[in-house]
Amino acid sequence: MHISEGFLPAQVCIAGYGNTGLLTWYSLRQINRQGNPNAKIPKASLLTAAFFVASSISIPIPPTSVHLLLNGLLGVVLGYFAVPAILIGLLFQAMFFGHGGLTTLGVNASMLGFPALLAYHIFQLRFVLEPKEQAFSQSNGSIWRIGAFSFLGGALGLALTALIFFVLMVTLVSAEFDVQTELVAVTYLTLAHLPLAIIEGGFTAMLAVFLQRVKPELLTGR
Amino acid sequence: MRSDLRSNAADSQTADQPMKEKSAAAESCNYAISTRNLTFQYPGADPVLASVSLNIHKGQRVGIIGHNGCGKTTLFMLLCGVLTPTSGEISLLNKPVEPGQFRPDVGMLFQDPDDQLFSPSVREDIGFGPQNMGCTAEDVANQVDRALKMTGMEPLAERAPHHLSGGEKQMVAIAGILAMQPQVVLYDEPTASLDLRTRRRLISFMQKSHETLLISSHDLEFVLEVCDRILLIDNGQIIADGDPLDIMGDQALMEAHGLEKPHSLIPHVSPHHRRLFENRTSAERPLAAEPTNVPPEKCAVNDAVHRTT
Amino acid sequence: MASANFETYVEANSSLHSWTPRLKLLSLSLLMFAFAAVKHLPLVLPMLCVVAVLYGLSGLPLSYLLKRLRYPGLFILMVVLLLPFTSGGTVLAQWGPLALRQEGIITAVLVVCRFVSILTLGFVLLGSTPFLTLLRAMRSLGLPTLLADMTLLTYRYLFETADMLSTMQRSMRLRGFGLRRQWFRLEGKTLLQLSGLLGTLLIRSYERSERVYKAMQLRGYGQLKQPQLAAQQPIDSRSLLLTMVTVAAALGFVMAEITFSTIIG
Repeated sequence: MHISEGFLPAQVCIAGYGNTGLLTWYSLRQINRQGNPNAKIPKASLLTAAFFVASSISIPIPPTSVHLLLNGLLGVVLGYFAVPAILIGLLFQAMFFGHGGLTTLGVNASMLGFPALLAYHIFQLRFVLEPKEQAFSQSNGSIWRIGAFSFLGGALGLALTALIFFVLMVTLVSAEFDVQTELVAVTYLTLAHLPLAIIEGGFTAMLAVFLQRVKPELLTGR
Repeated sequence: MRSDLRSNAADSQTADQPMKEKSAAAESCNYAISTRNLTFQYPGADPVLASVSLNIHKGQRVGIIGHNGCGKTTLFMLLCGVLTPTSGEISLLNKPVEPGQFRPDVGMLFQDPDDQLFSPSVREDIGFGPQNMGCTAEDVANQVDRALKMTGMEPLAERAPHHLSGGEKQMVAIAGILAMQPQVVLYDEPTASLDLRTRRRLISFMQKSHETLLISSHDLEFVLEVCDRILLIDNGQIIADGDPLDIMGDQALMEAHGLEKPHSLIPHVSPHHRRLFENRTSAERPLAAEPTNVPPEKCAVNDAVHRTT
Repeated sequence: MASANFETYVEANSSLHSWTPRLKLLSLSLLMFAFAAVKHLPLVLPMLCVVAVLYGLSGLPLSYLLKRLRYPGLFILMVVLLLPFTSGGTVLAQWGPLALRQEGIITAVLVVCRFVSILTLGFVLLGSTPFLTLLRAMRSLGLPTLLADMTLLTYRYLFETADMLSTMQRSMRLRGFGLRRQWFRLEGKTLLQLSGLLGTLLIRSYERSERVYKAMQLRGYGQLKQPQLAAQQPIDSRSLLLTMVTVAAALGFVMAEITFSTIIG
């Protein structure tokens, strides 16, 4: 779900870069606020490499197979580092596979980045309204909360990205569609991706539960 | 500059100590590595290292042997300041080790060279240490060239690390440590990912080095060839400390602590190697493959190697 | 992906190869955005000509470009096939419900030509500049240190991570994963196993990162307050000429676009 070169007018591409610039500035600021960025850089970098490589894993969804977006999971695991990770991942995908584009990197990064941060914050919501004893005994939240909120994060991550993608593609690629057709097209295309959003959410939840059981430090904490 | 202040503090400390401790302190000035009652344990678990005290002189080549989980890697991590000891003291080159402090005079080589080659080119990786030491660009370039020459890695200077073989990666990692001109180098399983040629090159390289070496290895033959002193560790304690041949030659001792006597130290009195055509009669054995009238005797090579002490 | 080559640089001796990196980056980026602004058919041919000239100057083999156009070209094809039948009011030909529309064809042509031009320019940049040099150029233009460090480290460990994944996938396949897959049913078990694969990949990468961080610390990572930037190379006259010509071309295209927009609309 990346937009390739030549599809979007220059103004949109530049606006995309401006948007991503703001998003990156904000994320870097939060990263520095959260302290000790140097220690987290190796972790974020190697995980970015892992996510990049993982984008080649195809999940069999009958009758075909898809590549998962995983931007919800990026938010759950990396937090604010998801934004630099997405930037780097998109750069490499454009460079090595011609997937996405360099002029459209700004747009793609915002399209994937905002939902990733949203997923992160949704995942952090799992600590809200937690009974005191649970907060005391389980530092990462209970496994049910982890599963539920990561599912939400993953599903919404994909849904929002799909929505933005279709809005951009339908409204901007051709100037000839009328508003009515555009609205209908966007609605149908996004709804068609709901099953995919559920699967993405489910996969994200499975992964979050796996990580909690094997290596809880990988999930973003309190 | 900061290290100068620290040694001044140490000097003023010794001035206040009574005479007895002063002579002991003066003696420890000769030690490259020195620990006293070093203990490390994770909260709620058994100690990984239990009150370990050791002294290693400058220029010594010490091998650390022991089965998996005996505490070797933990000891190295403590010596480098990566882990904080639960109790006890460590001092390297007469300065106490402070966890987290950057000490370029001590270098450590990890088991997996991929874990320590993290720059995009060989030259940049070797220069990483000197750069962080605050050297000028010219100094850094000189250090890098020197280290490349010492390890014979000059032709690979501009390559990317992922294009190198396991042996080349290990030598580049060593160059990266040597560029900081350490006085003590800790090697954690240096031959683990090496082919035989590179292993041989590493052995001759280490035999020519002047730094104090502490080598942790399962490769007992390697330890025999390189080290002049051995520490046998088990259960977080030093079981034996001394001459390699004496300790590793003691089969009962080795086997009691999860190891075995190195093959080269086993006298070849009776043939115990398996041959390809063991159970066939002489008529069935291929002709001119190997001489069949050689009497079983002591393996001359082994004797010759270990006669030099 | 382990067999994938994560290299884009091709060694050659062209004037583009010796173009000062940061000037090259700025000029070619400007030209790429200028091409993205092209919305009128008359500009398409000049655009393709400029691209051809630059590619010729770069000394890169044609096979390099063709190989890299193949995969993204497939994606383009899908959109390009849709547009002539859905976009626009002027119908050129009709077969029952299917109507070939003029505006759709024009848009499709524009999209394809912009795509090919921008992508080719991108590969001119990547093929003539080693990745590290490109990163250093971006740093000198203001890329934050955190991003630069992360990019370098991620790049460094791409190969090993790809190897790790392919080894794990091979081991799964050798133990029968994916053999009894039914094409019509979503296998929960398969998803679970794949989540284990990805989870293990993440964990092993994380554990490696802890070791790498320790190794970096032991060699002084974080000691320097200000990262050292390499000394800037002086700009030679040929680089300056190339820069001026490219920037002029970019501006030319933008102005032509604006002119067309005001005249034709």
